[in-house]
Amino acid sequence: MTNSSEQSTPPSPHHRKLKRLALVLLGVAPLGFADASYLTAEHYLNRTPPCSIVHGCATVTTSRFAIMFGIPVALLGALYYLAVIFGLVYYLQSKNHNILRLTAAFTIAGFVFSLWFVYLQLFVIRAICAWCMFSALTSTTLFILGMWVLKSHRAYGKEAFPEKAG
Amino acid sequence: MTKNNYAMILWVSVVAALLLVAGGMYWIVKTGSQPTNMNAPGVSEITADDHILGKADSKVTLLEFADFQCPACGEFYNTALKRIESEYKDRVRFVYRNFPIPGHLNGPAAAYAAGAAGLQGKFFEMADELFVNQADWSTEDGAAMQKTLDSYAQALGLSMDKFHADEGSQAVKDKVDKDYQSGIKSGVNGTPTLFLNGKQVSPGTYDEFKRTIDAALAASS
Repeated sequence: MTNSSEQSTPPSPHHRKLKRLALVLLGVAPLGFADASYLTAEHYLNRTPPCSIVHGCATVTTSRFAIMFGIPVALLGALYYLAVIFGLVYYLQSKNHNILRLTAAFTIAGFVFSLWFVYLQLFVIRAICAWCMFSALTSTTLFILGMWVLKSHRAYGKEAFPEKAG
Repeated sequence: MTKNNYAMILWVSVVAALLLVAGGMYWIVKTGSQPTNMNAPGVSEITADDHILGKADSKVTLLEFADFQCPACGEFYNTALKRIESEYKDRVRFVYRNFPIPGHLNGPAAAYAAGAAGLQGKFFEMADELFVNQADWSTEDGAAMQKTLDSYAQALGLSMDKFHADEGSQAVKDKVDKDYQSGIKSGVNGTPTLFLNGKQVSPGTYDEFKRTIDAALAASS
């Protein structure tokens, strides 16, 4: 009952736009989560599976780059998408714009990691894993939408969030 | 409904949906990891341009579709096929067809090198080099890989000029493509895929493989 100041603000067009952006983000993030879950399951279940033109190959997911800080990168990816989903749901429920901004900023990390993984596939591992590329695509989409959120925040800042102006 | 109840229901459904997604993915991997198509509709005739090792007129033919950069193919070759080939080459006809998996950036170059070696009668010797040393060249970029391929060709005593010309030739590329298409036609969708006298077999270990081949030899005599 202490901090309920946000809900008293009537929804402005800016808020509606941010909410729409958050919903689009929320539409994309579960795709990344599903993809990363698949790769995580593959990491924990497989020995050396046959290479398949449909399911791809273990060349990438069993490479020495598939583990970071002792954790499979697929699992890190799943946790990343999970954090984005939770951030978005929490924003939609609480209307706390700082949460949305934090979530949007977090997509930069996902994008940077994706760039690194695409680089590794093309130039270091010399094999492309379709599921990994799909994850790169979803995290890039999240990043673009995230930057849009941050930009909107800045553009509307003065008007929509007068206490933060200046 | 109070606001707290609403929030609770929202969070529970989000978590439930995500658990469902993760569980579904686990299930897909678990059920989807068995070897390729089990009901391949026959395999096209073995022809003179095929890469053949062993007893050319044997009644038992083992046809393998493989990709030189595929880790499963390398593991299968190094743990089972290499031994089987050396033990059975005076009784069985072994045929190798290329099935380069898309996404393996060095797979085609390896296949062309083997094809070029084949034109100097050393296909299986080159294939052996490629599978045994798979981890070395798989991650190399184009120039470094060509050097590695050259070193294998030199070790096999190939004429280097002819090797280089054949590696880049359309005929060698066409053969790889023809192999791939024959695989697609036979229902191959992954590697390694093996056909023993036209019937798909999936031996997991050397011992299992040996039993399968012994049974085929016994049946043919």
